[in-house]
Amino acid sequence: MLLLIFAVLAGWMADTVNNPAAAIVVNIDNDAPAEIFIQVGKRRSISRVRFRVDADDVGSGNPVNGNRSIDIQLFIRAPAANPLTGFLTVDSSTPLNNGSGATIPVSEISWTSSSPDIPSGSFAGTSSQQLASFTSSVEVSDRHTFSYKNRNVYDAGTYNGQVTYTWFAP
Amino acid sequence: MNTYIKQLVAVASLYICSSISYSVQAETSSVTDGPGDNMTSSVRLKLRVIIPRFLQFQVGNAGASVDTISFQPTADTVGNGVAVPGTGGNASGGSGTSVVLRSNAGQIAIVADNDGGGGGLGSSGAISLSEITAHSDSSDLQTPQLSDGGATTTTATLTDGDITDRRATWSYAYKNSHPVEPGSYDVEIVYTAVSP
Repeated sequence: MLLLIFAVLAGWMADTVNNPAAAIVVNIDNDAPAEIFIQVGKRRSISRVRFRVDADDVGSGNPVNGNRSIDIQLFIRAPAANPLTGFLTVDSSTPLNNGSGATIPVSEISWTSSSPDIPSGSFAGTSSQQLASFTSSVEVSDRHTFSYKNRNVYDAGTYNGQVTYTWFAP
Repeated sequence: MNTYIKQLVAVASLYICSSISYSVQAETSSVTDGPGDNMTSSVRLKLRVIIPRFLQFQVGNAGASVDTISFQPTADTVGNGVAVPGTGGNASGGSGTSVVLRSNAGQIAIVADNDGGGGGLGSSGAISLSEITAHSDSSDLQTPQLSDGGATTTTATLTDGDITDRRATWSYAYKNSHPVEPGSYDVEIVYTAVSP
């Protein structure tokens, strides 16, 4: 079986070299099931964005940029005869906490988008904040740069939390 | 024959890609629909904010310069017991000095000392610091009363948890209780904010 695949690939490669202008014909099955896909940050683990406030700048109102930007990719695919609309929402209702009872609302964090597909904005601190919607079939790639607003003084500590992006097609 | 081989490879590639996208990994999610089903996929993003301990204390103007509050009784009022308000502070109209105290490091104490470490105004402490009264316009950020011995203390009212975010205007007056020799009498007060 391995030898057979190798032979097939070798034949295709040789053919590409000998006939560079030849076309590749792909037949797409119109009965393929609809599909949605989303990826935020790393593929195999949960990405983290960290904001470190300087001691002489706590609560100054000067935004603090996150240590990394996050790539967001999503697509929705459906037969043209039965298009679907996908909605991207985010749950930011659980505040960040320092493990000692102090919290920071996630609404203190905003982002800037590299494209208008998923517009720049701030987390609302709610369970279902709609960020964007797209009609099939489309693929979207965006990069978000996050920022901590740094508007208030909070207890010292390391505050952890997470948001959940939901991509759904009803 | 060549066309057949190309189609075979293309189909094989599509199958491999399709198999990968069907798997659901940690922060990649892909869903295909069943009959009448909604499709929903969720991924997470962790956030971390690191807030350090800090203490910011400002009396008067910002920067390295030291503000001066002056008391100047007129010749016909020296020692008459009528208090003379201070002038020259950075607060509105020079009536006093503005004070800012911000911290997340717990209960903050404010200590007042003088540069003589045991004297009053003037090189020989000719005028006792008990002749100077200090007043705060905020009960949450009281000013220590001045003394020749120093080390008088107040505590600021916490705003929330370990947080202090207070502002006040501290104003001063010279009691003018008794006559003293003519001249200029100086002292430098050192305020220190102390966290636990």
